[in-house]
Amino acid sequence: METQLDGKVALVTGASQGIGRAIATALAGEGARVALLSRRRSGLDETLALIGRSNGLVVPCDVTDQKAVASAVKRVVATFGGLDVVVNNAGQRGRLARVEELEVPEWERIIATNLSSVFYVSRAAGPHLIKQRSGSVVNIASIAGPFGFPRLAANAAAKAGMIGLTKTMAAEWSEFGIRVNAVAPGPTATPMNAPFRNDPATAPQVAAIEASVPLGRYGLPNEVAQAVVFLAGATGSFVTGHTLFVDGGWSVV
Amino acid sequence: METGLDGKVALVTGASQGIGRATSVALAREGAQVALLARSRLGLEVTLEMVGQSQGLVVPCDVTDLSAVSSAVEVVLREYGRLDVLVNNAGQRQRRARLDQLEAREWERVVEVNLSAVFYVTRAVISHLIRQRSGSVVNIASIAGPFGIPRIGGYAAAKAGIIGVTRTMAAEWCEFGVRVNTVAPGFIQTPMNAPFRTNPTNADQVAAIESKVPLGRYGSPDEVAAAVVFLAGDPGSYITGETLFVDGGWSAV
Repeated sequence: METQLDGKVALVTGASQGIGRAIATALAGEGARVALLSRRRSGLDETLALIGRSNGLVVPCDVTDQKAVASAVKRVVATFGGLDVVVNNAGQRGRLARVEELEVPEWERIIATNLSSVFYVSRAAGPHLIKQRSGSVVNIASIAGPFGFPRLAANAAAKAGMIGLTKTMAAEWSEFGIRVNAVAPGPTATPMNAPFRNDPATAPQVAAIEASVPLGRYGLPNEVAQAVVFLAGATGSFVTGHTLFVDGGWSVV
Repeated sequence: METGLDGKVALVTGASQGIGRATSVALAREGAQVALLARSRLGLEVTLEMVGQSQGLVVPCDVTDLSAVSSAVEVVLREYGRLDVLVNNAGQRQRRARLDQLEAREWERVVEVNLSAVFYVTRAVISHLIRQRSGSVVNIASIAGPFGIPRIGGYAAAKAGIIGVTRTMAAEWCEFGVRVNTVAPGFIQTPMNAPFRTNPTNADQVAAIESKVPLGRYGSPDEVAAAVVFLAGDPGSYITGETLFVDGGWSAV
């Protein structure tokens, strides 16, 4: 399927591992040049090696730091001469705790990392997309947003907020030809949850999660990446403000 | 994007024009063989020209006629020996009328064409997908399903029903590796609504529709087809039971 991403410039946050790495790889596979953002330089270098040196740019950046975000975006635009696709993927699950046990700094940290960072990055990238009157933003939410997950309150609030932010950005920027969508992954096998998935002590919990998914398994980072590519590219040209669930049917049953 | 549809066999209902024709062409371009169903042989022949004689099969069929549907599916299976993708696209607008002015016969007809036909066709092919332990069904609904649009009550009920039946099918057949999804188009330029769009007396209404769509225009059948191909193929391998809105942001605002 022709995504017309060849020669486009993409920026992916949280590109040092897991879903972000798979998204960067998939976008590069379509011919895009990809700016790789994350705090972890070593992870970014590995992603760069995967996508090929000439297709990528490593930009170490803490996305919760407004100033760092602004200069990172400036650097990407200066290096590649533009910006077409922004994927807000950086995120953290947060420490498991019920609401009454959740420390305020932990709440603030997860909201900053998972939600405010999307605002910072989009705010910095917005003027470039508006000026060229085209562009596509894809935000990585989670089924934890629209549904209730015990002991994940901050992450759930941030991800639900991201879906609201996505619709508002879609409404605000549609007149400039900019589309904004969300992808909401279900259980996905990532390095972030590998310790949980591989610990024999949590095997019954892992089996329960798999049983709760109609397709009977965790998804793969590349399956999330495919949805991002579809929405980011010309294939999604009449899709905006949408939240696409990539969850093996979890949200349906 | 690699869809893995090369060499697969697809069946598309309502393939004689509009979205069904665009979907058939898009599937054929990915290398699929496409069985083209509709009542109008003339329209199907035109679609066959577009997909290429060697990649299509014209099967005239009224999808509201149960026995016609099962013989059509038999013809397809005899020709190709397998079936991988089903696109339930056939549909009809109703006479525009408030529900209090809609005749029972009109209601029954619009529900039969738009909803019951999905059940008939899917029921006829599903045993093959189950036996094969793989397959993908994509049903074409409409934003008229989950939202209230005056004077198309029967059509809206049928399209909402499609979303419901999609979720049930997804839940029932996931264990056999069969995925079932919906695409919900917004306002799309089709031959079905061409009389409305091109009639000068409707110019104000058409302009009102366009201004209510964040992207400011009607979509094209190709844009719906791209979503169908995405869900039908490997890129949608972890997506089932989902409703993908291809509506230019209409449902988000």
